[in-house]
Amino acid sequence: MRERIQAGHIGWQATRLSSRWVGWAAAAMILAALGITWTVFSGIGVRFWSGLVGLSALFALPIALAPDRYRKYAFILPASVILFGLAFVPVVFVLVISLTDSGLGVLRGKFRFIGLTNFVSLLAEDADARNAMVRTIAYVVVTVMVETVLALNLALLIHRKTRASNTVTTMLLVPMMSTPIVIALIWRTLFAFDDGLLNRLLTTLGIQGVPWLSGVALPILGDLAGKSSAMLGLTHGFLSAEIVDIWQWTPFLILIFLAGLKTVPQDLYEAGEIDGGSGWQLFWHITLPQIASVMAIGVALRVVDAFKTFETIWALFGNTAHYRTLSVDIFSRAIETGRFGEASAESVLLLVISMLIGFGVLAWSRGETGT
Amino acid sequence: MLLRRMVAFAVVALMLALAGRSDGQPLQKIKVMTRAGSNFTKGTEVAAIEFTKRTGIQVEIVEVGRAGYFATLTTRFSGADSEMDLGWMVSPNMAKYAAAGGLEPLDKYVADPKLTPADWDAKDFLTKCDYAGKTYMYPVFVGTEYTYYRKDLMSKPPETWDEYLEMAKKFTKALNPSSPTLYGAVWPNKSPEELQRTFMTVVFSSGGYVYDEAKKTVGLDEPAAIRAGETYAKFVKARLLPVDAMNYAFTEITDGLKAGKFAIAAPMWDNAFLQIRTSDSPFKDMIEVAPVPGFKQPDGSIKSSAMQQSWGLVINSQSKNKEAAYKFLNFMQSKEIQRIIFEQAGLNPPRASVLNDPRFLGKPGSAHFKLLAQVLANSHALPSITWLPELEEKLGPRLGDILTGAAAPADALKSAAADIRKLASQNP
Repeated sequence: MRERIQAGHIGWQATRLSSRWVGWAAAAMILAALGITWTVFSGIGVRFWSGLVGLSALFALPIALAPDRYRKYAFILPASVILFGLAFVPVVFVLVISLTDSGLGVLRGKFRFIGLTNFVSLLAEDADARNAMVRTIAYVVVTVMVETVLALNLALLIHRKTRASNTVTTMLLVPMMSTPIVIALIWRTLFAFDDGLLNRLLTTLGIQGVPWLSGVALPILGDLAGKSSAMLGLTHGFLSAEIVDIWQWTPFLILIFLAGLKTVPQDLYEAGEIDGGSGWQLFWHITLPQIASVMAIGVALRVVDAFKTFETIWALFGNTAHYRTLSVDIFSRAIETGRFGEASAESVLLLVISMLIGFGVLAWSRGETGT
Repeated sequence: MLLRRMVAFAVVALMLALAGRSDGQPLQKIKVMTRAGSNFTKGTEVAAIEFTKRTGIQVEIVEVGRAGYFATLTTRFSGADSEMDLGWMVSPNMAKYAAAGGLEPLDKYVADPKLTPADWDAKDFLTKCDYAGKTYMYPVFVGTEYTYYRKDLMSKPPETWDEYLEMAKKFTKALNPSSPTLYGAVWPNKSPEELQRTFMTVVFSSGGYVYDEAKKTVGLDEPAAIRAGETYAKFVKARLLPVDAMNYAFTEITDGLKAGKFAIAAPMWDNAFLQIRTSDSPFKDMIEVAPVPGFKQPDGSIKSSAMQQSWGLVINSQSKNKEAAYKFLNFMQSKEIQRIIFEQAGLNPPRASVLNDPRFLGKPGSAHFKLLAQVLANSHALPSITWLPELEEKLGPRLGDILTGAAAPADALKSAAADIRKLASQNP
């Protein structure tokens, strides 16, 4: 065997014989790993193991047998197949199911193709689905707007190099690193009307307790909306959910905006100061344009994520209709009532709306910044 | 070349060796899905230990959290999954899974003398769950609703909803600052289980109905049901309920009773009683139970009709161990084991002979047995229809409108009735 391995990267100068040794060695290692796993987990069924061994042999064989110039594709083949299977196939499956009357009583090939009936029903006939859509859009708009403004201000503050910057940054990132459902459950105890910490603090200060997790309409806005307050999310309960979201995900935008701020050349500010620009003018004419594209990416990511919000709403309110967002409504349709076709159609609508808004933000940003 | 042949031989040999493993050996293990943190798990554990001793069949209990239990039922018992052999199911949901082909009918097993002893006595059960002429579930636990009240604060519980309203005013701190309790009234209002089913109890007590599956008619917009809705609205208007009432479910109300937060909780599930009496709450012996409030009839009598539902084990139609699963189910529902399950897990026995067994009088969990039998005799079951979850989905938001004051009861219930009629026409 005459192979020379160059240090620092996987570059083989090998003969044809030695490259086949690599392939067979890889196949042998996979089989050895399987054997060990089988020994440890020998209670798993025969079909599973036969399938796994077969699949692994299928992946190992291309590595072993492929000619040198195609060997790189053989190495990425397993990951590509798995990613395709996990990502693409379910999406296609949901698209297909959304066009059928699939449900708990109509499964496994017995369902009928019904075209766009599910979509029409959701958009035109089902008031609860429409309310969930409106509420979700309201949720996204409010949370992302507030998070963007807060995050930008905090990022600008942190960006000024002070002794406390690093400590403050670390503390601010803690909410983002925690599990959303745990955060929501903790906030639920804080929001409890009778014995939650927030109302106890307010009562101590002589302020009446706020009905945080209730369907009571918000003052002014909720009163103006009247009977539509629940649909528009203008209730104390929905506001509480938005507060939780803002608390948890503002740090995400802070991180992104901070990264953007660090890329702004300092000489631009120096030039601006020489020209007599005020703080606000420097911010408006230098900082904002410079970080606009980074902000747009952050906002787009948050928009897509906010559309998918499930844990916060579920932990705070369960399946209560007045607070349902699209994700919770989808879950309710699919799992609580077994209407898989409708739930799939609603998922497709959710995907389309979030993509439209997310890409819309990015497109607007490209237009504004010319990038 | 030689190495390649050796590796290929090893692969083939491994696959043959695995394929050679026989799946035909008798399986000595069944899996039972239960609701975590409930008496059902305890009851299953108690029965499982004894069952394994006597038959050698292992029972693996898989606990699923309360919040996600029904979601997991859908994925496990919809006729496409064979992971679980048995699962705990509540009677109102049974029809949906039976229609989907997810459950195994029990008739042939009950009729088989090799599997069902002669003294098993199917007629001894207070209820059973049938769908389309087949029996899918015999209950292991039967439950209903009570009025929970503080006997140290009132000499007798409210018998009518009007009395309930007046008594609640005295014990709500916002209206009476000297009240020893925060709220005078509460009932479960959380979707999807409790909000709708509690309201149905009030409708039934009012002499109405929600859906008649025999006549295929909807009763939500009839006077009796509207009276029930207006009763709800009176409590909301008088500010007697917690402001976040729609977040109150079984757990929150039980904890609230233990903490002395509520003077009266009605209607409220009966299985809170044992939890309260066996807790270390300072109020545990002050909380008593009574029939749910009713409505006065023209002849002066009071009609009160609580909801009745049962929990039992169902066999997964895809189970690979149906006979072993039925053996466990049958064992768990035998008179002998029912007595043991009651004593050790506190599950209300669904057999008349066990419920009325004088040996249980005086035991902690049986203090309410006489009341249970009395309430069950006047109780109603929910309609056994496959689209009950959809019906409750349509009713839930309208009840929420009543509880938040967003809509008048008559308007909300008429809207719900229209939606449910449409559903009924889509589900013949």
